[in-house]
Amino acid sequence: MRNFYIRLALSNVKKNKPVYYPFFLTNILSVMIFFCLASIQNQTIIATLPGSYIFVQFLKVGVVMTGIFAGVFLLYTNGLLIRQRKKELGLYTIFGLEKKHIAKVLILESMLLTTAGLVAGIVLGIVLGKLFFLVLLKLLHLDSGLTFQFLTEALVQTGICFIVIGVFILFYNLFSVMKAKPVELLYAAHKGDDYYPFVGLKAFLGILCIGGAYALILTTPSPIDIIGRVFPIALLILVGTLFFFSSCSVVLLQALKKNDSYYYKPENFISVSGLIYRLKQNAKGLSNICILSTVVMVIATTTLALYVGQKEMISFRFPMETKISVSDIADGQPTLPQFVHKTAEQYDMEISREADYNVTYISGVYKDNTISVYQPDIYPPDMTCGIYLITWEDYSRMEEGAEPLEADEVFVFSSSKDLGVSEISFDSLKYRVKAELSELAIQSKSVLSSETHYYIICPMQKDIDNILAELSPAENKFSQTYNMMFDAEGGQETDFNAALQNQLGSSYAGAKYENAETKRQSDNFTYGGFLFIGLLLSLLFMIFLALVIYYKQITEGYSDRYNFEVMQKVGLDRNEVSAIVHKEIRTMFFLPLLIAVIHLAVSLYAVAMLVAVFGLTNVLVLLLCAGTISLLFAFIYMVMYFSTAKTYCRIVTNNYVIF
Amino acid sequence: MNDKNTTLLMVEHLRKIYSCRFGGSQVEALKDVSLGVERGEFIAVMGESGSGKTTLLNLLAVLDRPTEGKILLAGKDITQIRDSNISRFRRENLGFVFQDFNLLDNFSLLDNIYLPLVLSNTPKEQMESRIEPLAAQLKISDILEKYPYEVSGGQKQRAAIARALITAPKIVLADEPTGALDSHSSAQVMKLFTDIHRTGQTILVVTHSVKTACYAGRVLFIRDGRLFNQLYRGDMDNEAFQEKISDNLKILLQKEGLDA
Repeated sequence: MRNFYIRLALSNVKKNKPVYYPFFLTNILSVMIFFCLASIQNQTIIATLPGSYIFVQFLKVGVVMTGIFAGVFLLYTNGLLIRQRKKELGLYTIFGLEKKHIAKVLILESMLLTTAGLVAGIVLGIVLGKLFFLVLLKLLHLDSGLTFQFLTEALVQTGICFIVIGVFILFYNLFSVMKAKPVELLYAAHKGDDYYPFVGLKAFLGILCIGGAYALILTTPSPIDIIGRVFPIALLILVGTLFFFSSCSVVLLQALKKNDSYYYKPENFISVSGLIYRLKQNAKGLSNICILSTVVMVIATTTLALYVGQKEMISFRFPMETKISVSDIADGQPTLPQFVHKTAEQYDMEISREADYNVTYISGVYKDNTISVYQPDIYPPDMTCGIYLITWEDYSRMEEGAEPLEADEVFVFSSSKDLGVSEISFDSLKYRVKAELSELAIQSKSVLSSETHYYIICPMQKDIDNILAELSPAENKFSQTYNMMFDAEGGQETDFNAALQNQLGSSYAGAKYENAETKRQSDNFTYGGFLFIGLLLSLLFMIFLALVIYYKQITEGYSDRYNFEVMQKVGLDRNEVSAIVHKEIRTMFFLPLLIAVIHLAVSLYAVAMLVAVFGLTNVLVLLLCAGTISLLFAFIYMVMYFSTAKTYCRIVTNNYVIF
Repeated sequence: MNDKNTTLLMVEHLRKIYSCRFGGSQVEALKDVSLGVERGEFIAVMGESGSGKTTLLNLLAVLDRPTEGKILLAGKDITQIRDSNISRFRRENLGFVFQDFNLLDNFSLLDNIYLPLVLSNTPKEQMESRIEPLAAQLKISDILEKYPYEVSGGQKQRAAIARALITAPKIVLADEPTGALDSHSSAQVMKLFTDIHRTGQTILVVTHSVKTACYAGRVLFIRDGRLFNQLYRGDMDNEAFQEKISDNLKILLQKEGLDA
């Protein structure tokens, strides 16, 4: 008897091939991606790499997200599956299987699917994990000699995650079969979807939500604020898109139907009524496709832009290759330029660009032309900005032919938006702004920059002292340092840098050494890791997307089959049928892509600010990435469309017999 | 059949052989069938299942090609129509009524009836002027906006008849039009066929129900792929004709029994 159930379960899976195999395949691929991420996260070698902490943290988040998304998605597609299978399960009851027997069949079936999915997914994961690991090493510019290890921790994590998902699916299926009556299982109604009630209200809400999300994006005052808004924006776009497709498609289709001269054309007649008939199902499918597409494109664009933009980010933070600073120079000690040039000579290096200056840094707040000291209990943290005071003398050394300043005049420079003021006060100490500088050798400028630095060029050291006396910042709120930035060129760069850093630390008080190259390496770790996780997540979502599209096509194919049979009977030939079929699916298929691209375009504004928080302020890099990603995505989408459209056509134009 | 000018449909020595895909056994579904249908005639074809009546109907509807023989509709051999023109030909010359109605659930009854016209790109005004008298005649004017799943079987079949008639076809082919209906609706539908016939419409009904066949002016009996015999109504009323058909069927069946 036991054998009988196993056979029944097996034959069920086999019989429902066109609906089960893709589900099964998605299960396998989700297991694979989860396993790969989990294994890489657990690789001991990763943890030992310098600066890998953030990457490992993100990997952990990536693993959890993969698990959650895979669970949600598999549950959702399983819902579609069980609906398709209700008739078959109904037949079993008629043939005398009790519900407990059906439950047995379902339990066996899901055990079968989960086990097979896990085994196949993990085997595939071990094979492809190596490949992914190589990709990761390449992205991180690491030695490819590192080997990918098979880890039992990853295996256990994957097993637990997908067994839990399998149990959830099983409970859902058992529940939906148990509560259904055999008659309901047997007969699927021919009734079309009801028009949604409150269509107008929903359309309004949809537009309101999407509009609200867009407004939130576009009104974000500064990059740092976008972080707090990411969640509400995502939620609004999600809800808005759902409402939009469920209601606006009704409104649109009804308007089209009312328009006689449009509606009573052969292609439109059939496609419009077909779409209205399957409104609910259609709207759900379309909004899912749209949201998945948006997610894929946003994730891919963001991570790719950060990876590609690394150089930009570095050059923004390092106007020159190396920056050294000391708190003080004792009498008789060489100045920084002297020190650097001497060391450079030893290593045969040439200093191509340099600047040295004294700077007074104050952690301040800028509001209404007035600079004051930042106080945590008065101002919110996002109002802090760096105030840098430099004398005209130092400034004139880095900027040849600088205009002179009168006693009460200053130059100002902002690293983000221009101040655009004619006067500036330090509490009550007032200065006239002679000019706002558009560039400064020691600081890059970008409107998008998340942290603002204000440079004030004062006439004399005396002015800086006065300002300090007026503001009287606490000990930890200001510092005075002597700095130098320079670019060095030559063959022994590494040795030179090492020696410089060494000697600097041993001979000067409060010495700090920063080099773009070392930063570049640790950045590469972070952003290469980001890109890697982004790629895997995009891949996961693409798989889900392909599955949603496929299911949409085949379920509609089966339900349209009868309609097209009838139409052929009353005089529509096969070519006309396939022309209509194409028109119908095309109209509805490219709408989600279009909306997704619009979502992406608006989100780019938010993404721009988000990456600006990481220091990427070059909008062009972002636009190029977004363009590449959306073209690539559109291409893949088309491929998916054409291959699934073929399946659809084959189903609807299948052989028919008339009488 | 005596006057060529009034003959709408001529079937000459029709033969249809189905053979299995891999050769071997062959089934001769129709063996040398010849018949003629006059313009404006209401004719019923009767026969047991397997007698070949469905094959005949499929050939008349140009859904299948005969192995031998000709079918002339208004003097034109429809077995020679090219594949690319068949759908158009069917749409413009033939009206179909099916046992299971074949209405589309995604269209209202009105749109279902409009379907063949829309497919031929008929202007809206023309469609509207055609539907009005037809809907009145078929008594479906009030339910035109409803959907198939909202109306009864009889109403569905009346809508399907309207769809068959709206193109003003040369001939209406009906396959067991009462097969899925209760007796009351069946009688109603057949009375409608009689009314439509009175307006000059040529109708060919295939059925195995005596009650359905007795509305026709002439009944052909098919057996084993051959025309067995035929009955004319003459001056008989439905009841008398029905009895005569029943008697004839008895002979047909007895003969069949003897053969077996």
